[in-house]
Amino acid sequence: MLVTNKATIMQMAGIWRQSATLCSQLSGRSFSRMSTKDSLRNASRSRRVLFCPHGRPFSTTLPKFNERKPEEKKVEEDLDALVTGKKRPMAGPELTEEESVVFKVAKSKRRNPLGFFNVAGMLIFAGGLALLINYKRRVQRAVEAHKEEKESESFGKALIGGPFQLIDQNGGIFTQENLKGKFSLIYFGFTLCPDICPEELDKMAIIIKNLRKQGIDIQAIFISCDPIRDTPPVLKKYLEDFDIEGIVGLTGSYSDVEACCKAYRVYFSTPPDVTAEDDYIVDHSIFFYLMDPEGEFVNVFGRRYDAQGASEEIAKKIKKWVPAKDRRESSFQKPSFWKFWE
Amino acid sequence: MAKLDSSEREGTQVVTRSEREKCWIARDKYFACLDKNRITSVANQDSSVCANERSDVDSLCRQSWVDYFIQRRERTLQIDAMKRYRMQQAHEELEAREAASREELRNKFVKR
Repeated sequence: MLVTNKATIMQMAGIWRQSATLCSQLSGRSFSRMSTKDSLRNASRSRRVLFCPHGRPFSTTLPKFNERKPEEKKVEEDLDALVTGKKRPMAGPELTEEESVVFKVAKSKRRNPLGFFNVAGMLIFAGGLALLINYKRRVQRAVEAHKEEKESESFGKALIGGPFQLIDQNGGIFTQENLKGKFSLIYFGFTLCPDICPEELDKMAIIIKNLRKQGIDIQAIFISCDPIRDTPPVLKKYLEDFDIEGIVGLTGSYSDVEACCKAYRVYFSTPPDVTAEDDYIVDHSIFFYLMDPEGEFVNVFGRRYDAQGASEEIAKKIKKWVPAKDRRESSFQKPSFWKFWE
Repeated sequence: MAKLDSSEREGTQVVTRSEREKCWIARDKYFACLDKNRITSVANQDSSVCANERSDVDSLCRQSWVDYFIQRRERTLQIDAMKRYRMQQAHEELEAREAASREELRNKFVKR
């Protein structure tokens, strides 16, 4: 591109010279050798005007850093020569006082082996990196926990539970309304069970005790699948053998018990036409049902839970429980970047 | 068969905890005797084997319970035997497969 206007050329030359002098001031090197003629020539050739004419990056910083005073430079060179054997040590037996001082000075002013970096900067960088990694890990954990919670949330009407009307061991009426107000643990069985029901009821005793120790208000309910033989006095006598305070034993007519078992999806094999003197075993599903203070189903526990496992799981569920009106969708809590201990 | 006198009068059947435990102890003794004599199925054997233990069980436990215990034991033993058989078969199959692959590898080198 040809620049014909003399005024613009003079302007550009001026800029060029200014930048040259600025650079020379910073770098300690002299560019005064570049004459006006040169500047003009550069301008007319429409060269790119860089801030620093010789255009190397860090060209001012590195030389400044690596600069050494001339005396030190001489001493360093002498030392290097001594070490490498190019120069013989002085003829005298020892270094003179001045030389020893210079030696010490030279030693102390050794070049920093790390060069541009320093320890403090590296520590801060490492600390920041650790913080970042920790944050990423915490975020991942929070996301997984939230996903698990969302999966385990249940919405809508539960399929287990429902209205029923039975008689307790003292002859009083007991319906689904009596479940309200506190948590309940329900077990379906029969009193003439050979070994499974007594085992499960002993397990229930431990669970109830553990939960009550934690201050949880929970009632134990035993519902008979064998209403023909399990009358209220029979239930009362049977339940005395188990160390569960306040346990409620329920029975009733065959149709009532059948209806309750159906509501709780419990399978049982008692035929309706047996008499109280008959000797038979009732085949039934073996589960504990946890009901909440609103009479709704919470969770079921099968035989693979032992007493400790079941109590822990129940306690966890109860602690997480909120009444239906206070329930809302769980939102994701983003962890804080700075609070790495959380 | 164990029934409380009082309950016999009332027409109800109740088994207390102590009665249950006595029944269980007798049952365990009987089953230990059967295991010692390697009997899995009681129905096919003659009743002279472990007769004493059996009479104890019959006197301390309800008849439905005795039948139930014996049936359950037989079922459990069958299931265990089946499991062991299946595991052994799987193990043998695995070994055979491994041996075959080893042979193949060996043959490859021999050919070369």
